Amino acid sequence: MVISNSIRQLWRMKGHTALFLILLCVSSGMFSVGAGFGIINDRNLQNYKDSFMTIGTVEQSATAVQEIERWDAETKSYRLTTQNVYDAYIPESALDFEGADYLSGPEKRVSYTAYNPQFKPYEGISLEIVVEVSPVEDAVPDHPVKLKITRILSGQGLLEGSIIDFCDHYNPAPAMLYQNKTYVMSLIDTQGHESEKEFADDQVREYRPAPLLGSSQYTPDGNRMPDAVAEDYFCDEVTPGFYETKRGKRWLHYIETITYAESLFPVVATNNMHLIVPFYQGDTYLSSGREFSQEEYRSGAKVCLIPELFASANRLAPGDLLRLPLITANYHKSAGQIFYTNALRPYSLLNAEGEIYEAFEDSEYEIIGIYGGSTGLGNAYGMGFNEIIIPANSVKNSDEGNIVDYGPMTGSTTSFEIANGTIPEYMEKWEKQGIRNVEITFFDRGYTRLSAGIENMNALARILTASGAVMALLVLGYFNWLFILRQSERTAVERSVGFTKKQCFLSLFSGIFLILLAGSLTGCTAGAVLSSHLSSGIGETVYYDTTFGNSAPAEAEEISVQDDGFYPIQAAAGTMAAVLLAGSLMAVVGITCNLAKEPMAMLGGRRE
Amino acid sequence: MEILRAEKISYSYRTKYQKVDAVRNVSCAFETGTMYAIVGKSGSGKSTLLSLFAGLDVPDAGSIYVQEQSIHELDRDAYRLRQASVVYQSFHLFPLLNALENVMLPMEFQRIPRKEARKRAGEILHRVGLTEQIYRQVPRMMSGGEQQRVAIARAVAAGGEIILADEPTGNLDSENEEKIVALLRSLAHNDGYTVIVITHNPRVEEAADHVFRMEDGRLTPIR
Repeated sequence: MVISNSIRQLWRMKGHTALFLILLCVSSGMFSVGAGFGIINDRNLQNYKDSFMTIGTVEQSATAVQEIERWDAETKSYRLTTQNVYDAYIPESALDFEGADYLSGPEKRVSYTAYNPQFKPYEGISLEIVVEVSPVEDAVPDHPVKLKITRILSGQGLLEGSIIDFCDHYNPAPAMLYQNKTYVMSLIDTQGHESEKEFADDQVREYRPAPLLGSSQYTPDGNRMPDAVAEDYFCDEVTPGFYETKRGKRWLHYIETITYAESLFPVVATNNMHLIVPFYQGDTYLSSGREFSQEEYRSGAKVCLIPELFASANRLAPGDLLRLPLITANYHKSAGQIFYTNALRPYSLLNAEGEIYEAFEDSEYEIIGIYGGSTGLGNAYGMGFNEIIIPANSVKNSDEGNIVDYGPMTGSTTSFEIANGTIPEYMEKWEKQGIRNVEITFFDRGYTRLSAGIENMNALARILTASGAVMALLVLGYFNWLFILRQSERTAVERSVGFTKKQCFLSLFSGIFLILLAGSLTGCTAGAVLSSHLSSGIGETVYYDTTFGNSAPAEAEEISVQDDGFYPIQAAAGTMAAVLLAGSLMAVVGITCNLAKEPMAMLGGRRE
Repeated sequence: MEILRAEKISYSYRTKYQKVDAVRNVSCAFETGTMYAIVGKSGSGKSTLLSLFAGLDVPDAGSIYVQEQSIHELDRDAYRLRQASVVYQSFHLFPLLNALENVMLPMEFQRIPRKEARKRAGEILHRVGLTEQIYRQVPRMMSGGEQQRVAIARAVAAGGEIILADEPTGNLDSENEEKIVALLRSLAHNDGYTVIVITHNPRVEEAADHVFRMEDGRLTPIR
């Protein structure tokens, strides 16, 4: 009775009631759209945070660039090349500053070289030869001179007794070669002496020095170790008993290492394979098996990932064991720079004593995954041929006696991961370190731009939420005044007619609560539908590109963020509850105020 | 037959600035079928006394008895609903309900079936001299006299025995004033109601069977 009477009285105020309902619908709708949209945006942002990854690559820039003169026997002039000069190598520990909240790294990855003769992916295709020769006549090899091969110590494609053209092409003052002497030489076949006639029919095929007899060994602190044999040395005179001498033995060791090239493959140790740019970019991807687990990274488990080519050539599959005797460690170049093509022996495998490097770590690794995609791209960021990935902590022994190269941090060797969206904070803190000559390049797959877009939408959502909430409060306030506070006389009459306080309360509250319920339900439902509709346009499939944070864009990829409709409903329910609660509270306060007034004082207009 | 009795009742209330002793040691008795007038200057405590009779307030001291039952022990809401009705100077009808609904409301609250309540309301409205044209009109469409008659009809519809009227003719012209006075008198004398009217109006004072004067919270019978 009380409720129907209350509704009847509201019905008699159709205009006000309808206006209240409409305004409540609109404000609740705005509130709900804003809240729903905000929640969906937050969820999407969180999904993107989980899907995206921000890495930084670190490159120490040169302090200076030095010009290097290189003699060219063809033009009889020096050619100028350049070489970067560094005052000192900045260690990656310089990146460990306070406030740098790394998710991973920073790490300067070492490119190890494994030698396992069980695998011969490049058998018999070495271009390098070691031969004993005698000049056809006394000659200074500042141009192609005739040498007769008297003995082949290593290499293919030549016969003993054959005549070859040799030129010490890059030496401005080559020594005289005497007809009556025998020389042992390390040579490499080139197309010809004259570069512009390189492929002409009358071009003379020319052999040039292959100077890898000298060692390039480094100390762990990055200093080149002294070697009696010069870096560009390629030739010795062979005298009786020469191969018994220390120098002769070095030649024999050297010859032995030539065959190593058939069974060398790079091994890269990392604490997070996604810090390796091709994996990060998706150019290289896991085609079977699995990634390393965090536990495997942490404990240094003997597990590895191998490329498809290597797996198929050697019939290897996940679960097989692979022996990896690590013989050298390169602290300068990435595997992609060193092993950019096959059949390479990129540096001397002799230490400063002329001995062949012995494996400092020799373990069997279980293959847990095989990766595919591009390898050996020939650029710094590409994967090396036959590059094997292992957890950094799996290398237990020191490589200090096997370091063949040492250099600054480069983008292809040094990287770290930070949380998505924290690049500005990171850079602000980094710049405070005052370290110059270090360039950090961020790769975020476009997260910054995407999140900025979402932040903009979030700002819109916040504005909608706030204005919806404020509007709802104003609407509730106004109609609380209209329907309740202004109805204090009605309450007084009801009291004087004999309504109990509870009935008076119900009389006002039930009607207004029904409008509140209808208005907030309609508005919030419409808001949920609208926010769901809005979000479906951006939420179902988001295309993102693999743009380097500040470099060239790559192909677009996609991630899916499905909207199951739960969040708009959740937001609508929340906003509806808030509107109902606020409206009900206002109503309760208003009605309580009405009931507190003395009926006779109000209705009599005075107190006598 | 005595229906309402006050025994040494006192009541005071506090305003922002002072304590007001509105009713002081008042004793009186009211019988059925009689019309009473309470006169006095503004601020003498007349309306406060009426609110005590209506059970909207309870005395600080003394007691009011309704058919020998103390008002302190009564369900005062039920008392107002079933026994005592109040009629105001400004009518105080429910502005959103029409004349018929205003009169039906107390009956509906007494759980009288809607159909019957409608019939009885029509009869009562007819009894107070209103035509059917008025039944469907909301208060703002009626004249002051019509509104006051609806208010009296609402008081009658409650089916009680006591009508408490606070300046019922205060907002009426002389023609309507006369009709309302006659109606109240008729309700007392013909229908057996106890009608207690607070008034400044000499015509009402003349029409009453008994007159009290209220002065400084004290009630004195003058006729």
